[in-house]
Amino acid sequence: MRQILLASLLLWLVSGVQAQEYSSYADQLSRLQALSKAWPSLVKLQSITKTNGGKDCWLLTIGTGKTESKPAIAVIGGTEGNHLLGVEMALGFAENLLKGSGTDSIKNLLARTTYYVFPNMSPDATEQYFAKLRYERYGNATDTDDDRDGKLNEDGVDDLDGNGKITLMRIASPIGDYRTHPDDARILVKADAAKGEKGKYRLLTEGFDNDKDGYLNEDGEGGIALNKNFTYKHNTFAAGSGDYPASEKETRAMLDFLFDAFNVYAVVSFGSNNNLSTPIAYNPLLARERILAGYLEPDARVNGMVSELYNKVTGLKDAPRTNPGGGDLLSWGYFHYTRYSFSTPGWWVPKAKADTAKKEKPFTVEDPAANYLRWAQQQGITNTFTEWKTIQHPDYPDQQVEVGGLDPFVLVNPPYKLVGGIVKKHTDFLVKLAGQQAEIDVVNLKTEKLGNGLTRIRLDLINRGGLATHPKLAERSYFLKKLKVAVNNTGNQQIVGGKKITLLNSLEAAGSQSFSWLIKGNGKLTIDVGCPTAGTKQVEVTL
Amino acid sequence: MKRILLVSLSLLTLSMGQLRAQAPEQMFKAAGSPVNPKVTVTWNKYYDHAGIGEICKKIAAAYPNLAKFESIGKSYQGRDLWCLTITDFKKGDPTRKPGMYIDGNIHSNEIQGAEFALYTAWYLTESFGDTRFIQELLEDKVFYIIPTINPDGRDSYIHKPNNASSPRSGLLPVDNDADGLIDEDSYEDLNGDGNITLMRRKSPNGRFKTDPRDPRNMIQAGVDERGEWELLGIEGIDKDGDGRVSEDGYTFQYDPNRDWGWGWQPNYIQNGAYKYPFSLPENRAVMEFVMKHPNIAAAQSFHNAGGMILRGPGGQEDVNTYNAQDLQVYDAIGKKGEELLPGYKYLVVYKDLYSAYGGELDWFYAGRGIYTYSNELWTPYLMYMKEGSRDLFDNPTYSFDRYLLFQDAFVPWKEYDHPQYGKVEIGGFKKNFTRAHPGFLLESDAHRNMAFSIYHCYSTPKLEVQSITEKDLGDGLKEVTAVVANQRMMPTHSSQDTKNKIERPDLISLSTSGKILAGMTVENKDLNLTTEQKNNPQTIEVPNIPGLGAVTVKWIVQGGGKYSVTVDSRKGGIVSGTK
Repeated sequence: MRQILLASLLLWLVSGVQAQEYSSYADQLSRLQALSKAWPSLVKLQSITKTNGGKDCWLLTIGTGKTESKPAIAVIGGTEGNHLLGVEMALGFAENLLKGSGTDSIKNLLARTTYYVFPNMSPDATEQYFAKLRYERYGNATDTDDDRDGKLNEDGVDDLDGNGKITLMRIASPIGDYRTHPDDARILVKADAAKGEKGKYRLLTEGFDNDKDGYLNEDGEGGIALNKNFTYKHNTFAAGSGDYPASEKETRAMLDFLFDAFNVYAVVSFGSNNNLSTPIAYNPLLARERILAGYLEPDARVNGMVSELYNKVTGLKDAPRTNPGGGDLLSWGYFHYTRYSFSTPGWWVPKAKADTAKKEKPFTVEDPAANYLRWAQQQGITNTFTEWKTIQHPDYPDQQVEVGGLDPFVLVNPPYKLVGGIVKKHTDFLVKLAGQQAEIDVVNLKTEKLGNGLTRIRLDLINRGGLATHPKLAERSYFLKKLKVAVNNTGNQQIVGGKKITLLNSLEAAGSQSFSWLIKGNGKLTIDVGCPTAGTKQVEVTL
Repeated sequence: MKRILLVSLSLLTLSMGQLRAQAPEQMFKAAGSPVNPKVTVTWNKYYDHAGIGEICKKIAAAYPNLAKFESIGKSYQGRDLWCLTITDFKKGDPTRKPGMYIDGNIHSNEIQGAEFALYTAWYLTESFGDTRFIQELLEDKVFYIIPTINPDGRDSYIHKPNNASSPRSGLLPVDNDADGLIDEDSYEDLNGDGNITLMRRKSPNGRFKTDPRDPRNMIQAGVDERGEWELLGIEGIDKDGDGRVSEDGYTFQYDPNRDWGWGWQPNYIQNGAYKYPFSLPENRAVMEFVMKHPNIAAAQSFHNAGGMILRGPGGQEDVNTYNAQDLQVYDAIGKKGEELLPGYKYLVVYKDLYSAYGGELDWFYAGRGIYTYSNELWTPYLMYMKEGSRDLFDNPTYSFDRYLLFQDAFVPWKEYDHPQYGKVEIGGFKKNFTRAHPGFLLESDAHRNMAFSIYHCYSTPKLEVQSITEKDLGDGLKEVTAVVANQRMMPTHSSQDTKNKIERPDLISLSTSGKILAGMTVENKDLNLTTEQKNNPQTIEVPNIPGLGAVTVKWIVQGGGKYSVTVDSRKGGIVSGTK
């Protein structure tokens, strides 16, 4: 009774800070602190670094006992600064999991799995949503010279129409390469010269050429984008990428933590890249390149299996195709961290069907903004489009300049009322993914007495999980512990056949491996098997 | 009492006399060497990290106007990374002079790089007084000299039992065999002589036999003859009982020269890579120092061994990074190096050596646009001034040790009772031979390598405002044309730099009492081909000032009269001219 009371009290405490709108940095922190207060035995909250903007990057470790020795999943939000949903998904997952931690299924889960939740790895950038001037920002607070002219942050966006949001700017021009969308005049689309289409507008982001160098908004505030700063195919010198990989504190803090976390077998990050709706296909040519550019075949198979699980659990479809752009977390997780790596945006604007009652027709030109506006209208979402309005622009005197367009953030972040459902589905997925993790066990343990104190020990090592103990690629990795089989013989026990220590690169899903030893001596000895990504076991043998 | 006083007085004079070995009048200058240096250094031995630091401090104390001493950061174990800045501090702003960066010892066992780098600092300061060339050089240029960028490894090599190749890495611990235990099975100095040598065992089934030319050596038995020795590898035992000897020691944790931020690849592609670029504190400190000194235009790192002057790229993927214009500069300096350094060959890492990703020289060039060489110091050529092989068991190595080093470099074979191998013999070359220079050859090769660095540094840009001319256009308009020339072979921006805009453009500014109406770069003065810079015309931005070439800029000025033109280049310095 008292337990139930306590549990409901905790639930009340947590629901007390239940958010109704995307959480700002301060709100994220109070939600995290509420969790660590409510479940102190299951949760450890720590800051892994402070950004140049003075914000902490938090890490929430969820698990029981020696969390560092249990197979673990890293869950990462804030991969991209405009993706507030990812922060909600990571944070909401932690909340849901802990709220359910009284149930047997979650208890069992947390007895064998650790979750490392990084709720927001781009806190400098996500805060722009809550700032006086709202715009989609990827970069952190590091001062940068995006246009490499020797000056830092000298030409950013400007709110010309004073609505507190940065939208678009169109300039009527015979050399413009944009035209109005044939089905929705509010939207501009690229004119295709090959089809004889003529452009009418130049399309730019809202702002002045503050430094008068002839380029608009080319070097604004912020910074380096986390999802461009990782080491795999880093686009060195590209704006927002950094002059060298892992140049940023956020990136390094995460890498330092994860490289020492030998128990992590999967990284699940939330961001624009998506290999969960559609898995990354095996490409034998790319998989053979010296600088590996494609998944190894067994690892592509696992991606396919996990993708199937994801689609089944979440029921999401029609995901836009994505292509990791280099320096990204998804690719790093596999190619450089050599763990299973997954990423999903969690939500995308559904394909809006033409409303025949309103005499709408299917779009003649596919365009995300046009699709969004149609969908938003059907959902009763209003006020997310700023009508084009003519302004006087000092950089374009005597030209017709209009400011307007779709609100920032709306294409990747759903209305907040949808967030709860999305979080729920992804919580289920993260729980089910842990159900697939490798689990080492020992079966068919047999001893045969061969006479004169000589005993033969035989056993089979098996993996009961749906995932291999290590991805195929991890067999080459420096930063994983191998699967170890160690015979702990005592002074009067001599190993006369077989190895005292055997290191295996991997044991695949449902795989097994037989061992045998010849031991001279008597009494008891133990054999330790396992590795941090698949758990450990000890068996006792009587000689 | 008087006697005691006298004795202590004579002791005092004696000790003073020891400080200054010889009276100046007793010495006669050998050409090209400081005859009576303020800082006495013996260049036929090696110094540990503290010893290197002490020499640095002495140089800075003796020549306050030529040398500044600082620590640019700390190693993993907390040792300082000491840096000497060498320039004529009385002339010009040192941060605006074209800079030459020199380091050594990135690999722990490759120690002589520190002495070679330090020799450069010592020579420049001690020769400044009576060498006009050095005076001019230090007026124009600045040297940043970090003798060892791996002091933990250096001290470990010197003070702990090792062989000539160990340790290669710094001392941040790594679980090399991924068994969950760190450094549990390292080399073992079984005979306690401070060297890690070799183990051999008499065996009728061995495939080696005693070398008739030198009984310390073993050579392969012929296919049709029986051998007498089994080679058991490097001194050690299987401490953790995993069936492997010395597989997880501190001697090879990682390779600090695979940790740099260009073309970096993870360990499974590039053996030795650590977690991410600059994940090692020593390299991070160097990187931050270089980022803070955009005036560095040239760089040199010292390794051993093999007698090579190496340039990038380290990976074949980067072949196109080096364009023809940069290769001309690289080749000119590299070929000069072959002349200055007998026995050394100018080579390209990826094609003449092996592919290596994430190397220091690749980051310096491709990541920062700095012309960089890595010299592999010491070559067997220097033993008998003729080509010799690098093979440890090659007989010239033995004969050199016998006749020139009097067997000082060899630990004689001696029996040892090994817990796993039984009766073995332990012996072989000491750690200070085969890769490190023998004492008597150290100073001369240090001098030659320094000469190469000086030539390299001399080749960095030297800008001048060659001419300012005024032409009357009528109606009160004047056309002012300035020619800015670069007197040396290196451009202000390497092609990699221009391509990626690593450093900002060079700025050519006009200051005049008149009103500047327009400014432009002149592509062809004779045919009047120009490109106007519409914004901010008083400061013309040019992407590059080519080596031994010039750029021309032009302004249209209303009024005017006196003109002052200033060139501000990150790697070319600041110069002005007036008319």
